[in-house]
Amino acid sequence: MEKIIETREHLVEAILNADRQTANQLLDEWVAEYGVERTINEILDPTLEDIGKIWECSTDLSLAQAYVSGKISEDFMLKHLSLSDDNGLPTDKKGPVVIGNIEDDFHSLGRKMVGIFLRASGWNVIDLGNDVLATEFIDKAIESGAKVIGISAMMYSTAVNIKKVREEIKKRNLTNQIKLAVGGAVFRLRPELVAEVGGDGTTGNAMNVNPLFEKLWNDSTII
Amino acid sequence: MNGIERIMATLNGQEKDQTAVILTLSLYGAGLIKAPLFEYYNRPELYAEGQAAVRETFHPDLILTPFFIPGEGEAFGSVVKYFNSDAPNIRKPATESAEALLKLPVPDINDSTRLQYFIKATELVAKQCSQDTLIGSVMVSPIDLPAVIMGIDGWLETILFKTDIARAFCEKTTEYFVKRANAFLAAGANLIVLPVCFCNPEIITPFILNNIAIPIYREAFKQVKGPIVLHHTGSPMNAFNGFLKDLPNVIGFCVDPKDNLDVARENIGEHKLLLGNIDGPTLNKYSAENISRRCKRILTNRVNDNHFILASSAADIPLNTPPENIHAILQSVSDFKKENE
Repeated sequence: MEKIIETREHLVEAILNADRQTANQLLDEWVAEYGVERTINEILDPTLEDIGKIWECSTDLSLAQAYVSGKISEDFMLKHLSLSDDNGLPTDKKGPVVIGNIEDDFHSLGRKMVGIFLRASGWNVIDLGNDVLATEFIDKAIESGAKVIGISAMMYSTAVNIKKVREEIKKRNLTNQIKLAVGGAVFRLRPELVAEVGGDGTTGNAMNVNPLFEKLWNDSTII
Repeated sequence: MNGIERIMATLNGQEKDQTAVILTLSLYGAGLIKAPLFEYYNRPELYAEGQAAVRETFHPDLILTPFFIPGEGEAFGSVVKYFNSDAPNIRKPATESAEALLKLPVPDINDSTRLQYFIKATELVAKQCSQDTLIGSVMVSPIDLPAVIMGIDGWLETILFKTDIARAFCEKTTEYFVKRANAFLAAGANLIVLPVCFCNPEIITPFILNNIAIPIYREAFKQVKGPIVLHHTGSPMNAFNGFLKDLPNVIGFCVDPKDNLDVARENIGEHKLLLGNIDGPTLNKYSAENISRRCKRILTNRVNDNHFILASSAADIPLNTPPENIHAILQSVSDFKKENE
């Protein structure tokens, strides 16, 4: 147990230093000794959970550190899970889900991090990119069978465009079938905005996106 | 006292008639003259007209030349999107690949239409305001600039994982930055305002700041022939400002509304200018009375701080902010002075 705790501490330290190389090396060594499954359960997942808590509870975690966490997860999946698809990412077990930045929003970093953590958690992610219209989100969700749409916006002026997605859902009688996850810097500053724009849920950071999407997926009335 | 005298007195820690005020009214000028925003950010004479209206309406102590960070990226090939009531934003970065970044041509400040817009706007604003108002030219630093050329995510990935390319590109942007900053000063700017849009605690780590950013800042800033004010952009900066306080030519720091002003002062030392920290982008959401109360709280906090300037923090004050809300900030300064005489 002591060794596990020590390794987790070293991994947290490497992530906080945004040191991808050292983090990957630590994980590789653990895999060599104890195997992939134990590494995920004993080291990687608990460490990411700890980092997520730091991110949730303070403003001390930078995007660089969070981004490195995501990259480490992605590196691990690519290297140690021999289930890669054509895109070089792990084969999806869950989903599909659709993500994108809302109409007029071009701040893609948060969305990309959400994509990384979702894929690392086994979701089939359809990323529509920046400046996505409400109709495009819904069309793609229907076409792909996605029950959850994740929408990112950085500023208030663009976040209000998410209301159009909610309206489109209502217009097509898809309420409770397609669930809306919303996120981005402005939602951390103004949590009341989630309800204002018609969101079904949010998370303060990309690391907690998996449980949010699982909940929304399960809340969907589509069988 | 006029704006120049008030800010210079603040810089020198001397007595003044009232606290100096700096407001981010770059965008707001367009509203005052009812200019379409595409025109405003492309025709320097229209920008100058907007700032003349700002000066006439509010008499601020400093006028800003275009606060238009996406325009910096546009000069390198990024595509800008214009809005009807908000400042423009980057629609598509010039490149998303670190390798392609190094091949991007650096724009010539004498040839680039976008860069000439910035310089011409500075000349015109200086011509009409510089007798009694300081002129601050806004631009981004050599290491913040790539974030508007390749997006924050692309630049973050380059800094983190392709550091050699990042450093090599910053050598090019340093030379470019120095030329531009000195061109602004030659065009009539009195100081350079640098929004730290990438190298802030929300994006990078102290390790990146100290080992990559600060050496680049130092090399660039020492070649600038005028003073520099570092602006927090949209992130609390208290965690980093202590590392930045001794950079060459840096005379002041504009901090975030969330930054504690006592901590900010402690971090930057007692003689640097401290600017802040009423939140500019939300001034349209409060009453004038509420804004007055918030200003009074800030002024009370800084009552013994001879190097403090009351300033709007973060991005531009929105176009739909009632003028009385902006007047409330200015009025609060003179009221506070009278109350404390």
